[in-house]
Amino acid sequence: MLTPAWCALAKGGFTRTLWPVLARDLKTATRTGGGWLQALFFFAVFCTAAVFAIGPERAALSQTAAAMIWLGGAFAVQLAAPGIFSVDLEDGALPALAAENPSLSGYYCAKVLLLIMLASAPIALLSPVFFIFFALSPGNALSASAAVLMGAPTLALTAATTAALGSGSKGGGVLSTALAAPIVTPVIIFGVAASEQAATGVFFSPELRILGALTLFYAVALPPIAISALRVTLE
Amino acid sequence: MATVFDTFANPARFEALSKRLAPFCLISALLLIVIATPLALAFSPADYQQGDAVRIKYVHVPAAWLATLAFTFMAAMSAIAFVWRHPIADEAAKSAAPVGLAMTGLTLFTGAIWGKPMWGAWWVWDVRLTSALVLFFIYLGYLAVWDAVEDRTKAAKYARLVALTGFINVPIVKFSVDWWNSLHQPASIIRMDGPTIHSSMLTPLLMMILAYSLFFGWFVLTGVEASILETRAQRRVAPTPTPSTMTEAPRQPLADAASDTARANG
Amino acid sequence: MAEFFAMGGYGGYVWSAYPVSVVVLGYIGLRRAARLRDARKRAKLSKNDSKKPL
Repeated sequence: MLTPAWCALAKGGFTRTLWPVLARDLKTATRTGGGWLQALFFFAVFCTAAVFAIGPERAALSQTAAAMIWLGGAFAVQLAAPGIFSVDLEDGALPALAAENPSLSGYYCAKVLLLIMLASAPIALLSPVFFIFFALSPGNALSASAAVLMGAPTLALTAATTAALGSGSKGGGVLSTALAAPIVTPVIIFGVAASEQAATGVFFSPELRILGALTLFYAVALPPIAISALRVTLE
Repeated sequence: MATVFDTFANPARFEALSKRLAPFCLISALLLIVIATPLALAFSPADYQQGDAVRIKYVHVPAAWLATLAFTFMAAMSAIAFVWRHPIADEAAKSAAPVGLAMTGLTLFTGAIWGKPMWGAWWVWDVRLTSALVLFFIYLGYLAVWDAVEDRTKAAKYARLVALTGFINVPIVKFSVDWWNSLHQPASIIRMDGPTIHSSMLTPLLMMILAYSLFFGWFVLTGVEASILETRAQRRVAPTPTPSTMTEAPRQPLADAASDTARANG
Repeated sequence: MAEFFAMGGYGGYVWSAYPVSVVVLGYIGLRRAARLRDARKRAKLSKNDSKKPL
């Protein structure tokens, strides 16, 4: 199970697929106009709606700031992720790729990097604006956003995993919704806590360190599962 | 090691084992429950803080124990199935899911019943309760996979992945009370310094935990045995060469359609 | 005896928890036993002369 992935890494099949897939997808994303902004747009709409929902009271806003921004970011990336695989499944690019390269690790890593570049990192970079909407001071907003940026890879990893698990036609939606919860919940718990601590001035809080550890754990533990799910879909 | 696997991996041998072991598990479980329940309800002390409400512990803790045990078992079986691709491992995991689901639900229910007099609230969104609720949904998701995906082989493959990923939640459920300040009380049995409960309470508690565990053993053994028999019957009815995976049991005149599906999923 | 049922004021709670536990365990236990019984019957009925092992 794990050995084919690591063997491919050693043999160089990893880089052979990663860069072409990444380059091609980035080109498609930028060429088709604003399609890649979908996650960012959802995030913006969600946060704006949340500000209106919570109301003008500054105390209430600053208390819920981190929670709303992390929730919005997590949902936005989760929503953007399935399209990343379905486009390749529909036009047959993925089956063709799988036929040539039995190891899908390069392909999968390209997709995760794509999600980071087009979804979670832009969201993290835009989040200071929304932290300010949520009545944080600019300095605190920047610190809180830095914590979101630290969590950007984690959000992309979880979203890519749930999207891969849901990529099968039947029963796919069931799987990804059932599985999003246990993988995303710890990220949100620690991410929100890290942002809140950062906003009070303590950037390198224990929660931030746990978020980092979680990212490393997910980076190792989730891709084999996601790649297996993609292979099952391709059968 | 090879012989241990042989017993479990060989369907005929497993069936022979299960026929002897499963009834023993069930009878021991029932005996233990019969002995432990009077102890729990009458012949053990009330708590000096919680009074007689503490007796709910004797049904809440074993249910919670079984909820996490079942999922750990499912994850282990799924990992074995992943590596060795043996269908009995998949069936073992699938057999454990209904009891895990029921026990998680029971944990949440008895927990709420215990929480109301103790904390004043039926439910709080603290980490242990939330992750237990998430566990409940993961069990539902696991069972849903077997139903939603038609091809049994494919369903097994997705189900393994659900079990393995969902297992991330289990340490959170177990260790959340130690890692965070939680409303729920921290660990009092499996601790570095040993149990903190007095033996007059610990004995019935351990008996109930053992009883529930034996029930779990019976539940899984009989589930796998039933799957083996169902596949065998199906193969004899339609003896076409099939890949070495378990397939749906066909409609039989024996039972009507509704209970047929219910039992196949039970 | 009355104190036994009252459970120090917590009677309602304790006497909800225990019966529900028994019912839940009993329900899944009975369903599982029924499935095994049906599977055994089905396997026996479909037994043919070749006695092909699984």
